[in-house]
Amino acid sequence: MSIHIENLSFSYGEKQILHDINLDIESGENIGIVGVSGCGKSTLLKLLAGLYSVQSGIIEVCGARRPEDIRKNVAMVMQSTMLFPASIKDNITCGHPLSDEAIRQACDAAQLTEWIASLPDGIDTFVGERGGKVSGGQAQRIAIARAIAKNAPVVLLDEATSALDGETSKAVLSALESLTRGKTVVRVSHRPEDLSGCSRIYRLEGGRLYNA
Amino acid sequence: MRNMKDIQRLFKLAGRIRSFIILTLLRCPFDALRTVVLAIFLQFAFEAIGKGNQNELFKVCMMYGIGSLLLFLYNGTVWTLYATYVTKWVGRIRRKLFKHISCLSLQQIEARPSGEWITRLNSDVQAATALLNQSLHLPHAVVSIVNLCVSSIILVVMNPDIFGLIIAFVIPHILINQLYIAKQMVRDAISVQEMAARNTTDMNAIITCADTAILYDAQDFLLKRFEESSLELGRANMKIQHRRALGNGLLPLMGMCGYLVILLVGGRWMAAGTMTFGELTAAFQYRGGLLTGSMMFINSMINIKTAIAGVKRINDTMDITMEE
Repeated sequence: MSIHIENLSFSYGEKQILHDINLDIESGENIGIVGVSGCGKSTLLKLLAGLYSVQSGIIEVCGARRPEDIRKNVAMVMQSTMLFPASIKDNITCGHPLSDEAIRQACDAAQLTEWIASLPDGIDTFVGERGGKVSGGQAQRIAIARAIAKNAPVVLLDEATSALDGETSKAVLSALESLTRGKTVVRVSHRPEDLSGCSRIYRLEGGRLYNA
Repeated sequence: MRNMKDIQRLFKLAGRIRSFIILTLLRCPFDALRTVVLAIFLQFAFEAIGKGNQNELFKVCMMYGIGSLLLFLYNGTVWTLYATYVTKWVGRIRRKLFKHISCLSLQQIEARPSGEWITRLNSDVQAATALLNQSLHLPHAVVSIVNLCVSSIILVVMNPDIFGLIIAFVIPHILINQLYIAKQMVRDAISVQEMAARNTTDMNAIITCADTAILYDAQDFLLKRFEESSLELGRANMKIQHRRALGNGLLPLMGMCGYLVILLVGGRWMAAGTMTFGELTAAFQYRGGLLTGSMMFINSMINIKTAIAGVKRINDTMDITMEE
């Protein structure tokens, strides 16, 4: 079992967001969660990523229950990518000592190699934190390369394909395919069509999870 | 010249230039008048003491007391009006800058790091408005020039030889300050503002990229970047402080040399009977006015040059036009 969620509830102060969620995801499985904006999809992903601590219930990711242990097993790509105000390389490695080969492979898989080669400073090019110096698609592919470089067994995608169009979409989808290959994947989106290819799809409504 | 144009643009941006000119003109006579009043007082007081005339000494002291009181009342009133003007002036610049930035397109905003914008709204405004609200600023430069001129004219009329001796020490001091301190200050101050922008961006990233940093265990990386840019900012600030210290170190050196030379020459003239003690005291007082004026001028220029960095960046921000 890759992910095990049992009786999970979560609230922001008085406002209950998630009610008694139960879900089991096998290793290598690709599941989707659909729901309207504000229904708690992102909160569920942040709990699964170990970014929030569980208030009630159990979350187990690859056998880990403590948030700091869960985080080691999870990579995440969000719709609005915030890059570090640093170089492309630092954004991919996050300051960790990765080999040049590992970085090159991550860039290849994220469809970044060609673009990076066209830059005067190459992989050492500085990018702004909101991706001001790169396009949205390029910023997202840098985030995907970062997730690939982490090589975590679980990948969480938060509306990762919701704002894509045209040529950018093709490159990002291809990068996402490289990222999710052979991994346990949880995708959330407000558009059911973004979740094609998922083995199971759930609907999050009123803080509860239903089979879609 | 370009710096003057930059300052002019900032004043146009804030508006009410006429009020500023009037207030500065009202402030102008104070230092010069104080120097004259004190010099006259010392001359007449010492002459009365020399003659042993207690009645005349009492009159001189009374006149000096009343004159000083009126002078300080006048000065206090002008400064109160000036402080109100400056507070509103700073507020107007900040408001206009904020309005301008908020009218820019998202694309333009995102083209620069967030720290750059925060610095433009905060520390650039602080740096630029130091032109009017630092301890020694633009009006002080004007006031010091008036004080310098008045003290110089009186000294030339009174004793051109002593004036020559004073000038021999004052001019090199001003030149050294302008060439080796104030001139470099603009470059150093611009570098401080740029470092401050990078530092703010790095600090901002710790908050805005918190989720990514936690998930990818990159907090140490971000903190290290913040530490590096903080150290760079510290080093840039240190450069400015070193230059200021150099300027402050020159002051007693040049001042003391001039003082000793005048004391020796004045003592010889007194012994020869060509100068009275009262005249020498008054000459020292005018020298004080001249030195205070030149010091005030030098320090005001250093502060103005430092403030220019902020002024240039504000003007640069106002030059960014809204994209269609």
